[in-house]
Amino acid sequence: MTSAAFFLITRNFKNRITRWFLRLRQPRYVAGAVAAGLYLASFVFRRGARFGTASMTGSTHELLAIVVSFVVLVMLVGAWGMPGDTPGLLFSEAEIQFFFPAPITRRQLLAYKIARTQIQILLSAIIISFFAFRGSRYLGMWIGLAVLDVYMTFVAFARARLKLAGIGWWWRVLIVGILFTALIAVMASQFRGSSDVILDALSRPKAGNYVEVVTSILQKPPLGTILFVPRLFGEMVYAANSWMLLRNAAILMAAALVLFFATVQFDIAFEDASIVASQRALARRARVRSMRSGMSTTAVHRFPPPFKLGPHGRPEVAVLWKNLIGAMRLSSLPLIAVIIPIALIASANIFRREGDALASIGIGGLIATCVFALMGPQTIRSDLRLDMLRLDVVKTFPLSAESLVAAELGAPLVVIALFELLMLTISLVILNFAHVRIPFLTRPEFAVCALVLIVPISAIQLLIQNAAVILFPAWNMSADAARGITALGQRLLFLLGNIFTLLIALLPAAALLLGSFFVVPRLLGKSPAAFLVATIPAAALLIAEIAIAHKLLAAQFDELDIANDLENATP
Amino acid sequence: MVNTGTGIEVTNLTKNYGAVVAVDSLSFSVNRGQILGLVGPNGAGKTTTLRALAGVHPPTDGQIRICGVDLRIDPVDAKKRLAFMPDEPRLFDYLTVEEHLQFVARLYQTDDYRAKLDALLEEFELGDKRKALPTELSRGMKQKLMIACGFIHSPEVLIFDEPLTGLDPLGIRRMKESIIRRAKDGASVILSSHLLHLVEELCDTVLIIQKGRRIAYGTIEELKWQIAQGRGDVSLEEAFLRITAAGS
Repeated sequence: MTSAAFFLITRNFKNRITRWFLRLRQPRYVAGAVAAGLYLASFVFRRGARFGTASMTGSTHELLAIVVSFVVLVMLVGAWGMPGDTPGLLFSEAEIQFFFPAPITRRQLLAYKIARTQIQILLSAIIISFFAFRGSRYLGMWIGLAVLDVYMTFVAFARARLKLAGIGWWWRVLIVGILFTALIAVMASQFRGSSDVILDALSRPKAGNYVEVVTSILQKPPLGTILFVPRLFGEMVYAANSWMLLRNAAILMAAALVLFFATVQFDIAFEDASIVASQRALARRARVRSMRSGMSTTAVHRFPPPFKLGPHGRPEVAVLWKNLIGAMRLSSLPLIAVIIPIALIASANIFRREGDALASIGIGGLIATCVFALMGPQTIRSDLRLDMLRLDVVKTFPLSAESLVAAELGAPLVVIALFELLMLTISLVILNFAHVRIPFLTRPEFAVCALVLIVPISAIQLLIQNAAVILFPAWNMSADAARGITALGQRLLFLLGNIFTLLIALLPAAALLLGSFFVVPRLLGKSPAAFLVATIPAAALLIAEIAIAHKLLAAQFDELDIANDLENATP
Repeated sequence: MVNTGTGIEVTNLTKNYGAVVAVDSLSFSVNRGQILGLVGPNGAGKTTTLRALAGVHPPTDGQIRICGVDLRIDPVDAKKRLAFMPDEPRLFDYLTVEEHLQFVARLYQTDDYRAKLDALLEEFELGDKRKALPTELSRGMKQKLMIACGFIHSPEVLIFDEPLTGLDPLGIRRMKESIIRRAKDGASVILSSHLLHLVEELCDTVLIIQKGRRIAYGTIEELKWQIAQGRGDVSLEEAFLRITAAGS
């Protein structure tokens, strides 16, 4: 078993890395990897300049070691209060299928499970060290997390053994609650006894003083005794020197070995619970993936269809109808319900001093409209982005590519346009009614421009978002696209590409708008009608861009052949 | 000129994925009322062929005519006449069973859709699942819904990829009866399956492909005779194994 497990773990790792490098032969994956690499490199350099290990003082190190110790203490004690009393270990479907019926002992299976998770734990340790516990030691973090993993497995088995002895969850919660209460009482008492020393240290300008004081208090018994084991973790993650790191690592690894053999001694059957736990984990991952790909089935609301669909009339209406139902039933529309109150609360805070409630509502509406103009096309995805995974059905629809693309984009555009125009009109009317004068926002030029241009701008954003999925289908349709460094780079490129394309699309219209706003009022005066005339050329240019982009997108959709992309999708 | 006798006419169909030739100069035809079985080993190019016929994958070369209409020149008219039932039912998670059928009926401008909808729900035992979302259906029920959606506009050409996957014995029997009935009503049917006894039972003609190429094409009796060479009777399975072994 040991050699088979070793083979599986190493070969799995090797194949993943090999595949990743092989994929880099394709330019789109190289682009993703380069973008992600540059992003991470910039992060590392920034971090080195600001918060690197070298720049961290000894007292900061000690303080962080204390923080880690307390986190570990909570985990060590809290694990006994967890609800589960069946030790469900997480295995993949293939592992369950191959290992569970295989002639291997539970100890071997347990050893495999612990060995297999080490690569994952190492990667997690690096990420946590980078982003959360800055200045920590990767090796210390890795060993710390690995030992905690063994400990958690031990506790899970121990909970099952306690259950067999008649000590259920309620008893365990009660005991854990008492332990935490006692801990807080001990801490309060120990700090109360040293309050003069702490106040004295805090009054001094050097921050290091009070850290030293706090550290010395925590080292005194009984708190020092309670924190002995957690401090082994804390001082390993934030080790002052290599000797401290190696010493603590050796002690904790020896403890992990003892815990492992103790776990085996419990002789608890974990197979059934592991299958259940693994299936739940799998379902959770599937839910996350489906939500990311816009196919969330968990958040389907039972709204009735927006209108009755008869059997006759333009077939494009059927696609519009389907996508409107999708927009209503999937979880993207509640975004509106989130944006409006946030915007209203924000504006109410801004105008609190003036006490003008009507102005707050008006400005809140404008803020909501602006946020929605940016977020709406990204979040209301009931168009080709939602249908990409069903493309082998969608492409059989008896519609030309141009009709199909227009129908697909119709539903989100209708929803976005309705919301934007409604919110904008109401907000402007309220602001006018309240006689609120805010620079630029309450001028007729803004009102006319916003009402005329906001919908074409949203349409352009929708076209860009849909063009991205048609041009790079594998980036969107891969089941695991959310993972890996290449996927991170792909997302960055998508974001930058969207912003860049939007700017390119809007710049000519903006230039035209400025020009006409300079000329037209001089010829026709400064009436709203004159501003409307001045806005028309820019609007016409945007509509022309939309028409051209639609034609190009339809042609691209017609030629789209997903089979190759899907088979090479990002793992 | 529209050929009224032929439902599917494929001439030199070729489909490449980069350097890989998935389908290589494939030619065959399916007349109205005929059921053609498309068989071949894994990776032979069956699904690629069916998807090309349905207009999902644009072919690299060759011509596909659906009821005389060139799929490349007039894809909309050609697609109106066909229904493609993929091996994996791809349904819209947010539409109910009934709404799926309503949607397809409008898409294909189906007359008298209400009566057809009720009849299909009855035929596929989905009557009590009208308001159910796909997530509330079993794999077999999803398959039935997918096929019901394909049948609602009474297509002249039916393309099935592994139509019996996930169906229970009663479902299998009903599905076989449905396919035969639609062929008798004049539809041209092409079905791909690894279940050779199903192919033998349903199909009049068989096309065996391997590595994207046609290696045998004819009626089941012709293929059997070709293999047996007058020395007794052989099953389609035996004929398939010998033909593909010779072709590899």
